[in-house]
Parts: sequence; structure tokens; C-alpha cells
Amino acid sequence: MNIFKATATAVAAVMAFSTPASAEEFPERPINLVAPFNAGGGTDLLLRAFAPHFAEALGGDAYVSNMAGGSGTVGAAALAGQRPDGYQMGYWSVTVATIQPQIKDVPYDVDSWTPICSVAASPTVLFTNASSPFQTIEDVVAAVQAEPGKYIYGSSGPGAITHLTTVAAFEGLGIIDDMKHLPFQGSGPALQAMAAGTIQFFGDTELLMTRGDFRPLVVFNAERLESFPDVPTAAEVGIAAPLNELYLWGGLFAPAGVEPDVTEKLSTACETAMNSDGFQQFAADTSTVLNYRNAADFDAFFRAQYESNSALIEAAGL
Amino acid sequence: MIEAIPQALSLIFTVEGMFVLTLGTMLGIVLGALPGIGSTVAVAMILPFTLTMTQAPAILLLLAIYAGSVYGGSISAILINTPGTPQSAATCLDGYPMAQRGEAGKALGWATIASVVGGLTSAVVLIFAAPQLAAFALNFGPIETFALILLGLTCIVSVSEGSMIKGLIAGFLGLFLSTVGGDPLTGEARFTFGNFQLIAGFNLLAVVIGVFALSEVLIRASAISDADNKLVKFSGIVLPKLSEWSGRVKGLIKSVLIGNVIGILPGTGAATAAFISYAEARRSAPTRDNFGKGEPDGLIASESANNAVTGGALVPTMALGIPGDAITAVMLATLTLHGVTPGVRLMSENPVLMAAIFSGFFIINLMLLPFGMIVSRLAAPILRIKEAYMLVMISLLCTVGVFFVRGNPFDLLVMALAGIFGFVLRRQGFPMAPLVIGMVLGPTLEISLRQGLIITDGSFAAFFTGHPIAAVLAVIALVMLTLPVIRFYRSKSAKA
Amino acid sequence: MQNLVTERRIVALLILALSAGLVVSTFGLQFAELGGAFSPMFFPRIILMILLALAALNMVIDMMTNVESKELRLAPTLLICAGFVGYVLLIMPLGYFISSVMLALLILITLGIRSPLVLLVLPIASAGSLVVLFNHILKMPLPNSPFFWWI
Repeated sequence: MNIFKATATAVAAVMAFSTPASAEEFPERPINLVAPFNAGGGTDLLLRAFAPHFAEALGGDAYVSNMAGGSGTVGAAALAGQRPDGYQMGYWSVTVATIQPQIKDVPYDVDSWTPICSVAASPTVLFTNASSPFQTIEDVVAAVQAEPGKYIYGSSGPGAITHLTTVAAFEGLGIIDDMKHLPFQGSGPALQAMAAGTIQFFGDTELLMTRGDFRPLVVFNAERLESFPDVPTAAEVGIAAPLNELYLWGGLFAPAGVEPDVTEKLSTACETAMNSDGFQQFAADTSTVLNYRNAADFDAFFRAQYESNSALIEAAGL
Repeated sequence: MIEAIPQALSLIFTVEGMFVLTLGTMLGIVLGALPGIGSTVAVAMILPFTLTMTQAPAILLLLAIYAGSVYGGSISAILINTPGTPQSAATCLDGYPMAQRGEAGKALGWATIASVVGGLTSAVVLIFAAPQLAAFALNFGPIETFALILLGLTCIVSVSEGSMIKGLIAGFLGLFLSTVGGDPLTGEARFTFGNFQLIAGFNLLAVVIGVFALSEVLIRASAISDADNKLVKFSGIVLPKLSEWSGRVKGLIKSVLIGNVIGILPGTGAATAAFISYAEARRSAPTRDNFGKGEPDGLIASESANNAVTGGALVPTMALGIPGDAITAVMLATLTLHGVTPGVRLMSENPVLMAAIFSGFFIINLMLLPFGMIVSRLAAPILRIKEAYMLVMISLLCTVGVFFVRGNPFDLLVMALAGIFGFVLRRQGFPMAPLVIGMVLGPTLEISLRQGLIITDGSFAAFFTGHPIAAVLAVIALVMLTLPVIRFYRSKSAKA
Repeated sequence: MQNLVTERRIVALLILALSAGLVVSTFGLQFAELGGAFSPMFFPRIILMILLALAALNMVIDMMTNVESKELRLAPTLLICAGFVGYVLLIMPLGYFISSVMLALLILITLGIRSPLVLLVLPIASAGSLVVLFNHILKMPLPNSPFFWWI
């Protein structure tokens, strides 16, 4: 076992000698951006489009690495224990950062991170098939109350944003106990089941909804959406706070304890990268709703979300 | 669709178009042929390069890598008994025994022709009937899917004749392994025994590469006493003569059909198709008694079906905008990056691009034949190096392959332990193919069963009363299950 | 019936014990009992019960038949098994390159390769070419060492 001992000593020695680089010289080596999902997914592609502009804004190099599994928690858990030197960051969504740590026994929580910047945020929408008889959410409430246990809402998995959207809607309307929940593995199979009529309701972002022949019923936003001026907000149909607003947001997080100077530098670079023509073009092509917050604002937003989402988790029975 | 083809061909027959098709197919075959590197990792390697390309070449490159790597997997499966992907696991069953007999070239010949025929037919089906087939696939709800997976499970019986109990144990172990981790319906952790890493479950590829490739390394290391040992004799593909096809064409057509149908359905994939097709061939082929001992019909069944799936998986992807598997999901995401919205209107809004993808897919499958011959000719000298060197390279490549599947170092530990576990079991005559079948089918089996029970309010009988497709599939599954048993007793009484 | 304890019977017994243990573990009180299809243990319990029955049957068959063990060179096999486990555990702390060179050396030496040239060149060349390809050409980094970020 000498080799193990020798290795451990060597590793410790190197760790001790490498003092954190001062903010002046940062970055001295490539920055690793962790996508907690597989290559080719939405998060991965967003990061890959973001990385070159971010690297340019920092005057360094940046690459994307994938670490998938456990609904994003495996990647987040691995980063949570790393050194807070600013060379490793992850792009976490609302579920990875605020939902999963409250429903699973994961080795990270609200205090594990230095939030750097928020990048995207889209309100979610509850929708049904375009061919369904339900024109408004009132029709849905009436139908569910007339035949309890008949209607089924789908999700892309327990604790996913799709699940929380439907829970927020039906819990907020007080009919969730008269409906059935059918989880699928991912949005693809769920949307296929929707097209086939196996499930009647599904909730996701506007972008996803416009891909199929679907009819929006409620939007979980503070105001009505420009693209659907006739669709009421959740508050308008009587869904009370905190269930009335739900956003699929995501941003960069570094392990807790990053030097304020470095955080500042990263956060500013993030803003520059988001305003670059290349990234704006990406957002336009993929209908990504950009939403920049600096480190301090994002920290406050993240903590508030962590709190308010616990009500949703309770309602979902997770 | 057909009207748009001339315009689509003008997109393909450009310098850039032909370049990506040629390079992509070649690279796909090479990557697929490397032990441990499968389609998923091959696509992840190429993805960053496609981001800077225009729409059609980007998608064609991904498609070429995909189809090429599915075919390439058969090369390492046949020559060194190490499938890089679950879908080539069935190819080992007859491919490697043929190679051991000194017929490696012939085995690859059969596999190549079967792959090309499977891929080409699925391309034709795609061009002419994608919307109709996608509509048909909507008939498959959770209950129908459950019955189909049940049918798939009967393959465990047919690939483990001779050691039935041990095959079944391996199969059920595979099913169990697939349940470890977060419950797909409630999210609760199962069998993790407090270990957070296990919440993501056992990765299928890590286990497959462990039990096939690493355990193969151990088996060879445990037996060779002569370090100068050489691997199988191989000097290039030998295409089967036309006369050798007599009696095999019917099986080929059946396998291609199975591959196409299964590719279209949600929740299944190339591995399921290869195994179902293999099991069906083993049930009905005139040569069934030679299966598992190096019978070309077995190779034809698995290789034509798994390549037909690549086209089938494109049907829901293109017609509904719903990805058929992990690779087609990457293609759809790449489309969005180029400003194309995947979804139900994908084909009607982008007819030329879709026609280019379909025709490109046809051309890729044509290229498999010459490129397959070139790549395996190039691989021949590698097989002449000392076995010890080869074992080193297999081990290092498998590690790379497993690492890049999810980027999770825990998967490497799973691979190493699966290798040792697989080695111990293989020495005692446990076949490993059933374990892979169990792990591949397990998640879909469980989810569809439990979804079905939620829909029917807990009534299992209701699965078959209101669902004719499910009832028919269940009856076929029952026949497949009892037939080998009857045959076994009949042959016993004939001998007595 | 010359030898009661054979490798095959030990493996059969281990599988039996493993399945029994797993079946027992499904009856722990760790889940809120939602009943039927909603219970996370619904499906695994069915699978494990069948597995247990099969394992018991297998045990009986292996006790009744006597199968000669296959040839096994114990020392190299155990060394390479331990090598694999050590290798995957060292990849993260030491990086892919260093740990791969060590594994390659172990496999070559265990299998009787003694040529110093091969032992020097083959491990470095094979691990090095993969590191160059992935870390530097494709920018898909394999785990790197704590000493130098480029390998």
C-alpha cells in the first residue's frame, strides 16, 4: 500500500503549494464549465454556445465538460466539494439548484454555492392538446370535478419542472386529488403520450409548447405573455402565491467561498458574454429567454427561490 | 417528401456535403470498431465540430457518425468478442465463434451485407412512409409497450439454451441492476444503501463494457501461458457468394421488418431490436440448432435489425419532433441551434432539409460496404500484435469510453467491478447476453408496467381486455416462452 | 463426489445469499407505503423473488452435478483484478495519464512481457496518444493530474 501513501502525500504537497491566484492574474489556466446533463442536450448546447464568448470576455480559455446522471445532481454534487478558485463552475437549472437538494439526500444545499450570474429564465405554461374539448382552465376544473379520477397529467419525471408546473396549477386550483399523475422518462415520451391521448395535460416552457399542436391554458408569469395575450396568468385564475409564478431559470454557480474579486470578474465577464452578438444570435435561434442578474442579485434570487419552491415540493408530495 | 428530393440532392452533392458524408461514415466506423467507444461517445466527440457548420452538413455528419458507429460495433464484436455497445452484444453470440473457427472474414462479410440491407431498407421506409408510421406509433401507449417488452424478455430464454437456469439468473440480475437508483416514478432512492453515487443508477454502458470487454481481458489473462499468443486470424472481409444466400433471405427480410418496427416505437432501441430479431431467428430459422456456435443466420438477424433501427428511430424524430433515442435527441437539439424548430411541423416547414437528411441517410448506408471493407482491412494488422498489447489497449480505451458516457468517475468503478463480476460468472457458464437484455429492457418494463397500472387503477387484467395489440403481443410472448421448453422435452423423448 | 467445495458451488452459494439479502432489504421500512404500483419496491420485489427462486434452483443443480473447474492462473488474474480496481480509484486523484501508464505496466509485466523497450514505449505511447487526442485536440478533457494540468 506504499504507493497509495506516496500518492496521498504527493497530492497534499501540491495542494499546499498552489496558493489561490490573485484576481489580477485570473484566469491563468482554462476554466471548466460543467453541464450536469449529457452532450447534445439543451443545457449542454447553451453552455457550448456561451463558452467561447465567456472565454473572450475573461481573456482566457474555457471548455465545457459533461457530468450527467441523477437529474443533474451527480454533476452538482461533484462540483460542490471542489476548491472555490473560480476555475470550475456549473450551469444549474432551478431544479438542480433548488428542487433536487430538498427532495433527495444529495451532498449539497443552498449554502454550497457562490452564485455567479443568472443566464436564462422562461415562464412555464400549462397546456393541453389542440384537439381537446378544453378551451379554458375553467372547463378543466368543471370536467375534473364532474369525473374525479378520470383525467391524467403527465410529467418528464418526478421533481422536474414539468411536474412542478402541473402541480402548481392543479394544487392552486384545488383539484389535484381528483387527478392522476403519470411520470415519463423525459419530455419526448410524455409529449408522444399527449399526442396519443394517454395524458391530457402537460406543463413546460413556451418554447417546448410551440413545437406541437397544443393549446395553452395558464401561464405562470407575473404578466400575460406577448405571444399569447388571451391566455390568463395563474394569479388571474385564482392560483395563490407562491404557486402563481414558476420559471425555468438557470445560471452559473461556483463552489461556495470564491474570492469576491474573482466572483466580480466572472460575473462581469458573464454579462459581456451574454451581450455578445454571437450569444444573442444563439438565444434568438433557440428562443431562449435571457435574463442576466449579477452575483449579488442572483444570490438573493436563488435563496428566495429555494424558500418558495419548498411549498411546491410539499404540494407535489415529493 | 419525394418532390423535395431533387432539391435535397443538390444540397448533398456539394463538396462540403460529400466531404462530411465520407468523413463521417469512415470516422463512425472506426470509432464504433474501437472497443469501449460506442455511438454515444462518438457523437459527443463530433458534436462540437458540427456547431460551426450549416444546417444540412451538421445533421448529415451526426447521422453518418451514428450509422457508421452502429455498424462499426460489429467489427470489434466479431474479431475480439468485445461489443462497444449493447446493440452489438447479440452479434458476438455467433460472430465470435465464427472468428474462432478462422472464418472472421466471412463473419464480417455477412454482418456487413446484413447491416447495409437493414440500413437501406429503413432509409426507403423513412422516405416513403414516415408520417404514416409515426401515426401508427401513437397506438403504442404504456400497456402496449409493456407487452412488447415482455416479448423482448423472452429472448433471455432463447439466448441461454443449454444453460437455461444460469441464463435466467443473469437476465433477472440485469433486471434488478436496472432498478438501482432513483425510482423513475417517485424519485425515491432504491438499493443505494446510503451511497449518493448510486442514486444515478448503474450505467448500462459501464456494465456492458465491464461484463463483456474487461471480463474478456481477465479471461484471456487467466488462461494464457504464452505471452506471444495471437488473436483470431483475419485478413479482410470475405463477402458471401450469392449461392450462400439461399435459405437465408427470408430471415433477413423478417429481421429488417423487426428492426424497422421497433425503431419507430418509443422506449425501445437498437439493442432491443437486435435481441428480438435474434430470438425470432433462433425460433424459426432452419439452422436454429447451430445458433450460438457460429451460425451466419444469427449474425444476419442481429446486424440487419440493429441497423434498421437507425432509420426507424428517425421516424418519430422527423415526423413528430420527438426523439427516438439518445442520438436522435442530439440531432434535434442541433437543429434548434441552427434555427430549425423541431416539432410536428418540422417536415412541412423544412421539406428540403428533411429530404436531404433522408437521402443522406440512404447514401451513408451505401457507403458502409466499401468503407467497412477498408476499415477492417486496416484493422487486420492490429490483430496480429501480441495479445498482451491488445489487452492493454482494450483496457485503456474502455476506460475512456465509459468515462465520456456521462463524465462520471463512479461509472469507472462500476465498469471495473462489473468486469470482475462478469469474469467470475462467465467462468461458471453464466451467459452475459441475458444480463444485458435485462438491463436494457428493465427500465422500460418497469415504467410501462407501473404506468399501465396507474391508468387501469391497478387492474392487471385490464391490460389485455381493452388493448388488442397488447393481447396479441402477450400471446406471442407466451408462445416464444413455451416453445423452447416443448422442443427440449421432445428432443429428450426422441433420444430416450 | 470427490470434492464438495468447488468454485462453481461457491459462486452458486454467493448468488443465493446475495438474492436472499436483497429480498430481505426490500422489506425495510424505508418507504412511505403508497401501495401497489406507486410503491418504489413493487417492481424490484417481484424481480428479486423470482431471482431468489432461480438461485435456489441453480444451487440444487450445481450440488447434484460435478463440473471440473476451468484452468485458472490465479496470481496474474488476481493481480489484474486488483489493478483494475486500483486504476479506476486512482484516475481522479492522479489523472488519466499517470494511472493508465501504471495499469499498462502492470498488465504487461503480469503477462510476462520483459522487453524494456516495450515496457517503456507502449504504456506512454498508448495513454499519451489518448490524452493528446482528447484533452488537446478535441478539448474533451480526461481527468488531469494534480501536478500538470496538461496531462
